[in-house]
Amino acid sequence: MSKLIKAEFYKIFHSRYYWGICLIYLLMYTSNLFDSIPRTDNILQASVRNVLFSYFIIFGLAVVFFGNEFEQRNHMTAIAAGKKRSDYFLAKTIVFLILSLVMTVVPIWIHILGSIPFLGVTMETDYIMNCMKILVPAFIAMGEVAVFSGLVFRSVAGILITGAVTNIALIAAFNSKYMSLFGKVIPVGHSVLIAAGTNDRPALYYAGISMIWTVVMLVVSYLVFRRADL
Amino acid sequence: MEKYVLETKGITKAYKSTLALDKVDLKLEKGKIYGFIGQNGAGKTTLIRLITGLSFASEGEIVLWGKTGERELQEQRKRIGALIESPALYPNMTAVQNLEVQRIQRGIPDKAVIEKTLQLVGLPDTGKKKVRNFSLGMRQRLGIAVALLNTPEFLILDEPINGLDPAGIVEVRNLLKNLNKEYGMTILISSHILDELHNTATDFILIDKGRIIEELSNEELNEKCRQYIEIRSNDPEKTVLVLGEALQTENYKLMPDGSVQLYDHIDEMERIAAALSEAKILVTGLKVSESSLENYFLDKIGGKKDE
Repeated sequence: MSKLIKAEFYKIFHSRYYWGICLIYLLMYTSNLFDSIPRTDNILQASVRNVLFSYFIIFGLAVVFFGNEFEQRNHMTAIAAGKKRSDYFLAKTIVFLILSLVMTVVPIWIHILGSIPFLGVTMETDYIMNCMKILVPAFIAMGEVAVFSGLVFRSVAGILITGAVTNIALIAAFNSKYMSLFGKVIPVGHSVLIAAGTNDRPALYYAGISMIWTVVMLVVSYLVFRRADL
Repeated sequence: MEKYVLETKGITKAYKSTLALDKVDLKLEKGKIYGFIGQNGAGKTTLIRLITGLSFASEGEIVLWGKTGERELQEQRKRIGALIESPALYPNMTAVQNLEVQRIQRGIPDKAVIEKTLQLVGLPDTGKKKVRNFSLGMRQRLGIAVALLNTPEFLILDEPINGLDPAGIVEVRNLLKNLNKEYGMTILISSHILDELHNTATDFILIDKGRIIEELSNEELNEKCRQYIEIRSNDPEKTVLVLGEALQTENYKLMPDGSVQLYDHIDEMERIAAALSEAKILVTGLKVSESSLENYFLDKIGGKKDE
């Protein structure tokens, strides 16, 4: 499986689309930050406030990572060359989750660290680390939704439709009167609660919810993928 | 040492409303080049996808080098190289980068294998040109290079000469023959260019509507595609009677289009013309012909349709 993981990194780092998505994401995410600063209590909340934009970008990454791979039928060379489906599945999942995690967490750290010299903000380490315990599992669960759509639908259209439908559903959910409830049970919602400063449960609770979502989606997508006609 | 590279035992693949393969039994012997012939939708690609593990059979068993079972089969597939449907390439990468992905993925330690394989398929100097700017023929060659990278023991090529110019077709033919000769590589090629397949393959598998309708060697095919005299006349029924009486032969066939194919007395055109003329038959055409693989195949599936 290490060979497959290495090959996945080679492919993604040689993809102009990947670097393009990263650059656009960082620029737009940072420009959104300035809009969020006056509406929030601290830089972390301001940075996390635009998490639904991150969610949408992760699906953009999934289009490059899964959609193109299956539509160009590149997966065939790995399976026909004797790679186990489980290895292929895990290699794709691990690499995608690492990439999506880097894409979502790194800009937050850039904002936090950048705010110290530029905005004169003091760093509340305990608060940030506590939030990270919630955010990292939530971002993994977010990435896993994209993995699910990529490996179950295996098409650009399938990924985009899943991304659009879930994004619209999440916007509706977080603008409803049940926002607090959705925030507690949906991983993306955890970051919405952090942005609003209303995350009133222990970090372990939120991390646990995110892990349950991740494991369930991982298992379901594997069960579909392992017997699929590729 | 296993005699058979591949055996399929009663392989059936059913989709919701279609039976793509119907109890296919096949044995591919080591060291041969098999031409896999069938119309679009006959089941060629479905069988190739089953062999390569991209799809699962509804019934039956696949055996690779004597091994069966999901785990064992996947292990044996490391000995296979395949080009399925059209080349699966990364359009935004160069030829070298495409092969580098495959090299890393398959764990081939020697980087020189990339240059060697590109040389082998006639793509040595593509430099920084991205695959998206390649011609169809260049993509096809690169697809073959991907399949050959690990010097497989069993090479499966689905329509490998699509998009190649005549010179490219000859190069691929020579390449396949050399690989077969040098490495004893077993090759399964499906192609619509049947006359080209006739020049390359040592054995043929004919498939129609998901069923294997015939397996034959090149020698058997040559025998079946042998020369004959084609006679066209105003009275085909009387023509065959006259041939039987005058030449003492029954080695002829009355074709659906009214022509008669006579498989012996090839060098006796004048005698045949004279016999027909004496019987007052108006001969409108008399020539020596040879059946092509294409005609043979069409006859086979046509015959099946008539049943």
